[in-house]
Parts: sequence; C-alpha cells; structure tokens
Amino acid sequence: MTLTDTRAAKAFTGQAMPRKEDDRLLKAQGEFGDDTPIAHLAYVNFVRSPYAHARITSIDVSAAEQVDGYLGCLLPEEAEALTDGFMELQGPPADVEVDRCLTSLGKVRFVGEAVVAVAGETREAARDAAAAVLVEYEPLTAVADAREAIKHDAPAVHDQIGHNIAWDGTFDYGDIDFALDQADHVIEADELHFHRSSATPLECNAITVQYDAGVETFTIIGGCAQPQVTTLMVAAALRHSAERIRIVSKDFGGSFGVKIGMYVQATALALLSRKLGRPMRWTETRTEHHLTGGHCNERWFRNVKMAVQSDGTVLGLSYDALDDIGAYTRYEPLGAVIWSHVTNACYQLSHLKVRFRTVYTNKGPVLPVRGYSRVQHLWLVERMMDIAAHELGFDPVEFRMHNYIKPEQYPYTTVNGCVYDSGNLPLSLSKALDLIDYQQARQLQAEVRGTGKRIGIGIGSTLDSGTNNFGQARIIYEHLPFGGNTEGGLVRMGADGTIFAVTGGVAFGQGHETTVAQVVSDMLGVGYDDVVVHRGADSSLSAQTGFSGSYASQFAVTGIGAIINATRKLAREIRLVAASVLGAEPDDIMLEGGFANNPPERVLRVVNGQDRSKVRVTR
Amino acid sequence: MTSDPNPITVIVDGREERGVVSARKLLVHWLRDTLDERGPKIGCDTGNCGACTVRCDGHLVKSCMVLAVQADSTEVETAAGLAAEDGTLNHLQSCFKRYHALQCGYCTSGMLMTATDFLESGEEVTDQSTRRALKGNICRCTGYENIVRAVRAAAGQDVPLPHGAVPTREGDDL
Ligand code: FES
Ligand code: FES
Repeated sequence: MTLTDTRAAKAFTGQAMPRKEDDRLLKAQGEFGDDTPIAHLAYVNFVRSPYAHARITSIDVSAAEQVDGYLGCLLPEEAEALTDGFMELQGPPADVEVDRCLTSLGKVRFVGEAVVAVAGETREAARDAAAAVLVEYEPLTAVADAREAIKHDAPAVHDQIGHNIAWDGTFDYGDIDFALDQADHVIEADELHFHRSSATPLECNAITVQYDAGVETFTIIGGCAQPQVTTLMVAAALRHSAERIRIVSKDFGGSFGVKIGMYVQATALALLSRKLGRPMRWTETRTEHHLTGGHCNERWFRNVKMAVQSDGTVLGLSYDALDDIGAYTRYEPLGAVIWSHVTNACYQLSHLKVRFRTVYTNKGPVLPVRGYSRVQHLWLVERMMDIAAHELGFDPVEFRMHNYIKPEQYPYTTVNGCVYDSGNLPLSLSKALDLIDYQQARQLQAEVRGTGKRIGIGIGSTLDSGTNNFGQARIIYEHLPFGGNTEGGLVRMGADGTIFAVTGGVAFGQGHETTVAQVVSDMLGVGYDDVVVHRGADSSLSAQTGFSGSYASQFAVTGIGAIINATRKLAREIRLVAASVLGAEPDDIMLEGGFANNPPERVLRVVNGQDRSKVRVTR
Repeated sequence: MTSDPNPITVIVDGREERGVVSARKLLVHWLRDTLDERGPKIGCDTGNCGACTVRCDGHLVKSCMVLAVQADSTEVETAAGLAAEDGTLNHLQSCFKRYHALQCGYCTSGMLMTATDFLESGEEVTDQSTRRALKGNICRCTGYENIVRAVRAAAGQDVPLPHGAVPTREGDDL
C-alpha cells in the first residue's frame, strides 16, 4: 500500500475550521447525560459492597421502605431470575463466569460491586433508602495481586471456575530460543509492573432508562461509546428484542474507553423502570467511578528477556504477562490479543514470544481504556530498550534510531504478519528532540551532576493501530459469533436541499460533527454550513451497524470511510437528477459551489440554503 | 413530598426564580434538576473539579459545595448567561472557540466562569497567574494549554494561534 497525499485543493477538509460543536457547548446549550429533561423521573442509587470478597448472608430492605420517597428496589435474586448473564468472550473453562447487573451467586467480588439498586422520588430519597438497606456479609479471603491469584491455593474469585485464569495462551513468532541462544547479549528483567489507573472522563456515567410499555421498548439515554454492542448485551441479558431497545447519546463529557461498559448499570435501570413504571436515572458519583468505572489493564511482565547484538541490533524479546483484569472479564480477555496489533512496537524485531494469562482478582473490573492493551506492551518494549541501552552503554536515542523501522521499509510486515503501512519514526524522534533541545538538555543534566540537583531525561516512542478487527477475538475463542468490523454512515438531502449526515459512532470531544461536515461539503461541492451533522448517536435514527461506536480509533478510518461511501451514493443521485433536468450525461455534471454544473453554461442549484430567490435552472 | 420545605428566591442569570427546597438540596442539583440550567455540571460532587462553578453574589463558588437554601436572595450567574441575548458569543467565549480551548465541553462552563471572574478581578494576567486562577478547574481533554492561551488572548495579549489556524476567516467571531 502506498499513501497518496490527498490534502491538496480542498475547501474544507484539512483546513482549521471553527468547530460546529463549540457554540452550543460554550453557551451551556449542550445536552450531556444528566441534562436530558424527563418527565416523572425517578433516581437510582446502588448499595455497594464494602468488601473485596464476601458471601452475602442476608439482605434486609425493610428500613429503606420506611424512607420518605422510596419507590422500590432490585435485589440480586430478582436480577438472577429476570436476566441472563452478560455474554462472555472467553471459552471454557472460564466461560462459566456469571456477570449480571447486580452481583450474583451469593457473593461480592470487589469493593464497590453493586448489590442492590434502590429507586427514589428524588436523588436524596434514593440515597437515604440505599443507606438504610442492611446487607450482612461473611468476609472471605480476597486476592488482590495477580501473582498470588494464579497460585493453586489462591481463593477463586468465581467458585464455579475453580481457579483465577480467564485465559492462557502463548504467542510465538520467529525463533526466540535460537535468538537468545545466539545473541551476543541477553538483557533480563525479572519483573516489570504496569500499574492500574483510571480513565476518569470529567463526566462520570449518567444513564437514564425509560420503558414504554405500549411498544415494549426501552430507551437508554446517556453516553454510550458502543451503541450496537450495548444493545445486544442489554437485549440478551433482558431476554428482550434488540429492536425494542433504543440508545440515545447526545453530548458526552469524555469516555476514554470506559463508557463501553455502561450496559451493566443500564440493565439494572431497565429492570427498575419496567417494574416501577417510571423512567430511572443514575448519575454516577466520582467515588463510584473510581471504584467501578473500568480501570485500565494492570499488567505484570515477568521473566523478560531481550536478545541484543554487540552492535546494538535487537533481535527479539520474550516475556510472561499476567494481566490483572479484576473480578469480571467484561471486554476481556480481548486484551490478551489486542496488544498484538503492535507486536514490533517501533522496532525491527524478528523474534517474539509472549505467554499471556488473563487473571481474575478481587478488584474492580477493567474496561478498554484508551491505548487499550497496546500501551502496556509498548511501554514494556520501551522500558527494555532503555534498560538494554543502559546496560550495554548505548545512548538511548542512538539505540532507538538504530533499531527503528526505517522509512524505506514500509510497508513493513511485523513478526506476526501485521502490516505497518507508513511512517517515519526517526524523523518523529528527531523532531521531538529538537523541541526540547536535546543536546542542551543533556548538557544541563551533566552540569548539575553532583550539585544535589538532578535532571532526568526520558525517551519514549510509540505507535498505534487505527480501527479494529474483531476477527482477532477468535484467537481468544474460536467459536465467537463475530469477526471483522463495520461502521455505518447516512448522508441524505432534505426536501429543502439541506444535507444531513450522521455516523454510527458517537463523539466525546473529537469534533466529529466538524470533520464529517468538512468531508461531505467538499465531496458535494456545497458549503460547510449547508451540512447538518447529527450530534451523537441515536440507534433508531443513525445508520448503525453491529460494531458501530467510537473506540479503537475507529472514526478516522471506518467512521469517515462509511460517510465517504454514503456521500458518493448521494452525489451519484444528484448527478442523475441534474443530468435529466439539464439534459446532460450524469458523468458530465460537476458538483461545485452549491451547483450541479454542466459546463459551459447549464447549472442547477443544489443547495438552497435560506435564500430561495437563487433557485434557478438554466438550460 | 419535601418534609422540610424552604422557600427560596434566587436571581439566576437575571431571571427571578422561586422554589421550595429541602434544607439539604445542593445548589447544583436545584439549578440543574429543577431549572434545567446546564451551565453548572457535576464532575465530582466533592469540590475538586470545578465543573459546577457559578458566581453567587459576585463570588466564585462551586455549586456542589453550596446548599440551595444558602443561595436564597442571591444573584447567581452561570455560563448560560454569558452570551448576548441574540446568542452571540462574548469575547471570552469567542477566544475559547478560536484557541480550541474545548473538546468535549464538559469542563467549559466552569472554566468560563472562573476565567470571567479572574479577568474581572484586575489581577495582572500572565501565563502563571492564569494557571493559578484556573487551578480549581479540571479538564480531562485539552491539556490546559489552549485554555490558558484563550484566557490570555481574552485579556488582549498576543498569544500564538493553535496549530493550523489562519489569522482570520469567516465564521470566527473575533
Ligand atoms: S462537581 Fe462541584 S467541584 Fe466537581
Ligand atoms: S474539554 Fe473535556 S473536560 Fe475539558
């Protein structure tokens, strides 16, 4: 694949346009998850586990029933009776994990796990009633460290699985044993740790569910990063038709991956809204978000070995990974394969071997936080590059430059057969070094040595994959009923000539309305303001497909790709209509300046805008 | 259904609003849930993020830290009241737009209120004083740099435009 520069001569694409989103956001006229006004709204508060691992011996809601404004609650036994467990991606034996909207099988498995959902007339009533629910626990030994969790005598997070390994597999590319055996140097690290973190979008989850009994439809309102998968998750759990679930996301205050996981709470709200006959809203607190909001994958790298030649050439790498994913797999164990988009990181490795184990612990479940799973592997490779450079006496910049994939090597095939299509890593690093004046920084570092002041200089290089291929999920479990990737785009012309566009994805700050308008207006030869782009996603309105959503850096590839294809179809229709009106051939019609032109002199106005006096047909 | 009804009267962005609230009702919840005021947002409910920032009788407050009853007989200003009546962005808002000082926009209302207060305070506007003024407001998207630039530009300082932006073009409000 070769890249062509398509930036030339576009009126809007590639230009710094004023964002379509900005005015409403600056004027506080956006509509975020908690903003949507709903009549007769009730509020939900969750009773959460204070224990990392405990058996539930009793639940008593009688005191809650006395709270003024209490409406009702959802208990684990009800959730067990009314829902099926969420779909699991792992195969046997860990596929017997049971994950529901409330804890199930009589245990809690992490601090903050939802035990009871309580509904009240007001936020305060829901909170008071939840506080009055009495749950008795019998604490069990918790396991909070993946290295302990894999031991035979470790307490099992899911009793029915019997151990804490959700997935175990080995990726073996090239011949690492030979490389380690033959290399001039083997650089080793016993253990490196990529710690847990939280994505913390500034807007926590805010979900409202309305049940319309007349048409048996649940409407889920609030930030949802993966609408169609969420629909399927909720539908299967509720044993309800996916076509009778509608998801509406308007503005949302960040996701960074974690708003993929909102189907869990949405399911609890759906049950309550149907049972109590009122729309239910849950506005997550920051504390809840930190406890349960979907952490990033915490990974232990053990027994790390890197084969390096005396001239600084890195031959390959091997390690054992323990991925601590907390108490439930949810999006996992996809992380066990997603890192392999970028096996080579930035370097010309020829050999790579990774044993990967996905491990349950009694901690909050992880979700695909931005840079999902790749960032952990990329970090490990960069750490090893530094350790190796240090041990062998190479400058960390020179060492990287020597091993980088070179511009002339693209398309570059990685050890596992992935293709990096383009790039210029040495130039990128040089530019970054220039920006901090690297030579001077090193000089400064040397000058202050011994004065008690120390200056640290760190080098990190990275690359990432854009969009996704769920085909990889079958490395996890070959019988998974999905693969590949899809996205939808809908572009149409309204009766007054306004162009309307909507993608299947959502935006949480990326400015998709702006980008879509830039591309569509250029392709149709109309003005930027002639294109109305729908905000967010509405599964009953947008052109959604099974994998629609905003995750895995999808938009620039699949999102815009779908919009381009849809716009082509519309352009074709405009040409057909214009050709018949003007008595020309469709292929001779040019779309520019808001007109369909058949040079030299015949024009048909395409976009009316507000000014109808300009509508004209010249034959 | 409120067991401790407290009547309150608050001027919100120039409009008189009357309500009956329980003593524990937070100002941010009253503004948002009862009045559909979308300026103050909730990012933490612990006074840490600044998304709920409004001005109350000229004082900058985090409305999640104020009870609605405390706002009785005060004048509250939210970000929804910043633009002109015909919807035209004010100078600070235009600078935010021009300097790409917002992405998701969730922190924006709070940032605008804090910046408004800072610019009106008469304090000398420098990179450092701007950063100090904004320290109670968290943004998870932008990395702050463009917010600081926007505020300084609003103070009339010569600040480099974001990458790729051309000095003036149609659609800019400056
Ligand atoms: S919500 Fe008030 S400071 Fe965060
Ligand atoms: S723009 Fe998203 S939090 Fe500031």
